[in-house]
Amino acid sequence: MDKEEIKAFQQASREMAAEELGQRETAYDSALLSLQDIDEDAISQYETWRTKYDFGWSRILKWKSKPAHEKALDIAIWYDGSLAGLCWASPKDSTEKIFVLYLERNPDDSLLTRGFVAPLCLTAVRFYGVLLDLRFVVIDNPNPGARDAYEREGFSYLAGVGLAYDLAQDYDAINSEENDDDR
Amino acid sequence: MMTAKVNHMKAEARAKIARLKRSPKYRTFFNPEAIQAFKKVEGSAFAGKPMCLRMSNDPSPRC
Repeated sequence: MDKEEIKAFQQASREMAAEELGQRETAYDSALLSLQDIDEDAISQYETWRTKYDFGWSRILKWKSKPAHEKALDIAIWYDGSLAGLCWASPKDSTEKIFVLYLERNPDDSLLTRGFVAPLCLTAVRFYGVLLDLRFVVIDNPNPGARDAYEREGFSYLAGVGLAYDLAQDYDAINSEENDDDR
Repeated sequence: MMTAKVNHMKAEARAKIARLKRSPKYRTFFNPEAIQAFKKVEGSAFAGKPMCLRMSNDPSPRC
């Protein structure tokens, strides 16, 4: 897999996650929402967040250029000019898993995006995992308070894997669609 | 040239995701119950081990 293909998969995954939310009834103006890669602008806005966590998001800017992180997916969610969330996911050395290593929303509780950041990022990671032909989306160090939310998305604790979403159900869906097209 | 190649591969990737989303078996992550559940999560982090935790929400200094 070459760099161009990875870049194409990353862009398609981000775009289609944003488009899916835009197709649903929400309080959002979908024209104001976009999923981008994490760049200097995102880090500048992140530095103003009043958050008690420090994931070292600025490191992502250096990591992105390193071959070891070539397949990682970085996501910055923007809404109406404000940074709503950040996500970093990577298969690392795995041939079957993509790990959501960091996922954080803007800590301003008054933002409309509060409940949507995680579903948006998980959707993009899920699409990316399918494009890479992986089997699981695994949440690394999940916030224990978010367990119920993850389970509502179809994640479950799998022995030897962790809190994971099994992409086999998505491959079944794709195959079922292809078989329908053949008829 | 490179952009054209990326755009072509992106179109193929989008087509694959579109097939997934068209399937009646596709289950969206944007279901209202999950969105409400994520909204109720205490704190702004959903995944990952932070380098450090501050007692206050003061954005600086970072550790």
